[in-house]
Amino acid sequence: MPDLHHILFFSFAAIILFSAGMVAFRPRPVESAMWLILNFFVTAGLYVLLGSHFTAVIQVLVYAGAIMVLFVFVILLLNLDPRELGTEGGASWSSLVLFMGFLSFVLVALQLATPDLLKAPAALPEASTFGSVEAASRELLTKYIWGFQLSGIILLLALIGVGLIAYRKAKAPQVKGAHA
Amino acid sequence: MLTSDYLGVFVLLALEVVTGVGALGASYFLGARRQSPRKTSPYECGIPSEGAENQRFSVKFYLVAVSFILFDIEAVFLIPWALSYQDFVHSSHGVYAFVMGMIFLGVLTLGLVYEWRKGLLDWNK
Amino acid sequence: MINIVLSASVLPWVFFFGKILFIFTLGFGVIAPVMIWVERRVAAFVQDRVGPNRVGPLGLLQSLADGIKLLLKEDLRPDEVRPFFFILAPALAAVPAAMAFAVVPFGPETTLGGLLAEPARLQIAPLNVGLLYVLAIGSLAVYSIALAGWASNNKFSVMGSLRASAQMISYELAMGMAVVAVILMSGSVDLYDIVKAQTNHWFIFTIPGFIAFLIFVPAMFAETNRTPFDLPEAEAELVVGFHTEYSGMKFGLFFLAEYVNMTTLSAMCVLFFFGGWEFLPFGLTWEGIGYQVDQHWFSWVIPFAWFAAKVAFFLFVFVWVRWTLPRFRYDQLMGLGWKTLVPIGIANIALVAGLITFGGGF
Repeated sequence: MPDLHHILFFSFAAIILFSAGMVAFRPRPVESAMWLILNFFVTAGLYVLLGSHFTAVIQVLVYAGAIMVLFVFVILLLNLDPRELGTEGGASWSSLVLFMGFLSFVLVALQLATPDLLKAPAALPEASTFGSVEAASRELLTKYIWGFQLSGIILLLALIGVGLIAYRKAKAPQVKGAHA
Repeated sequence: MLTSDYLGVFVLLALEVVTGVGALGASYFLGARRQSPRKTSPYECGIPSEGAENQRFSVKFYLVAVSFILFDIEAVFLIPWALSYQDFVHSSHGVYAFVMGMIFLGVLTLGLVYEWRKGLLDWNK
Repeated sequence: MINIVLSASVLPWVFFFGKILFIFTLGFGVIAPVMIWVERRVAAFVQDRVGPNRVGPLGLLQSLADGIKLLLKEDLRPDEVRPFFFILAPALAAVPAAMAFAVVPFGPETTLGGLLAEPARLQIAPLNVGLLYVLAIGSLAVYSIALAGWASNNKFSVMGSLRASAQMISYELAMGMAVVAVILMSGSVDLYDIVKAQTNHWFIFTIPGFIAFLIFVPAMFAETNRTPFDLPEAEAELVVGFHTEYSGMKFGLFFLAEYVNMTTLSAMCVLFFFGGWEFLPFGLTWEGIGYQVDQHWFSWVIPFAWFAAKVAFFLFVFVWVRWTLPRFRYDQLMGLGWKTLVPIGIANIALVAGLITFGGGF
């Protein structure tokens, strides 16, 4: 009797794989971006199933909420004519189905080869503080404090990098018809 | 916190999606359908469309988005720090938490200052 | 029948679905029509005229009439539009804002006067990470606007939506800084605990809390694209910005989304700075004045009504400001967000941290 955890896990996994395939195979960039957002959402759902609520929310906040915004901005800025894009870039539905079928075959084969995969998961530390924000923050500030600081420095470097790119762009002649 | 805590979220989400789709569907069926070329052309204050179809937009939007990501990640790191802050103070490690937080904030303030000085926060920003 | 509902196994579910229906009806069915009426009446009084007063007493049924009108309008689909996203954007618009309602605690913990076995929260989803959830959902609000503008295939719409999106993400940062200060002061990201931490003093009456409030309010206005930050929708400048090509119910959904967004942020403001449902600051809680919030099954209504009144006040402030202040120019707007609010926010965080460690309190 499959329990809820199994059902949820496999449905989430299926959606993740499907949406990842759609990201790769659809011809229009905006549509791919939407599928990717769905992917990130469902990944956050997987994190919740693992009991890591902090990571789940951060996944949505940063990936789906910030990084994908950047992607969408870039796609909008490029302003690609749909007539230019056509449907040549995208794979046909049949090849997509074939790919998904192949993936499913590989996964099922893996399941059958290692029977332990279908065993019920060990008791999830549900009610404990594992994966909660408090636990994550404590680890971050004690064991991984230098990683914490290092990430700050990496962000600073990224900012400087952005500044350098932008500075060069600002000095370069404007593209014809550029608008603010 | 239990996984089942999220159940309410999904029920609410389902209700909202149904409402949104329902409203649109109702409008589709209840509304008149009298399309005409005048009505369906892009709206530019009533005049025929002019100007290039495919404008290129400024790179400043890209800059805003990238800067936003970087500072957003900074905020994401600050949140766990802020959360445990009072616990550190109560266990007499307050100075440690303060100093560590200030180092992190300082590094990112440097980034903000850099962007400011380079003029990346001007005009569009 | 009543006995079945009240039985120990069924009641929690009735309570659960009851909460959802209650908040959903309030959010979608009550707030929007009332706010439309409020908006038009207040606008009228500010402009020294009367406003809608024909449909129903005091014009109260005006919103109903408007809603019916929007439903019956032609579902126009302009030529150059990308159909799927054109329809998706308005349907998507209200969803993120309203999802935040799921974690808003609208009253104290209650056992419904003893009906429930253990105290339950008046929150649809009592998430431990409630505040982070709100931030995450809020950051998704950008998509409906970006999609709307792009799907319209009208260069002014794209322009408007890009500017609106850039504005929203910039002020999300400022909001994040204010929120970090609140987390520092309350020591929790659970919205219920944040309210509980304000039992003795509301955060608005502390120095860093007040500064955080000053940062939060402009951010509220910018996130909802309301005046004085509504340049992306500016009627006279970019046509109507990202929803130029939208008419009928699709436009109605954007409108609804705007009001829902306003309500969510007003609720956040009350929860973070004004003590949520607590009666008065400085220790005058409901318990403090002798009102038992758990005496009868309906005792939670008074704190809830008080909370609703506070939220309503902020909604009124939204409308009031709209018809009072002139509009910011876009570069002024962005300058305010990045060069003023974010630095003040960072300084405020340092201030609170310093006060807690070295000052022994705030």
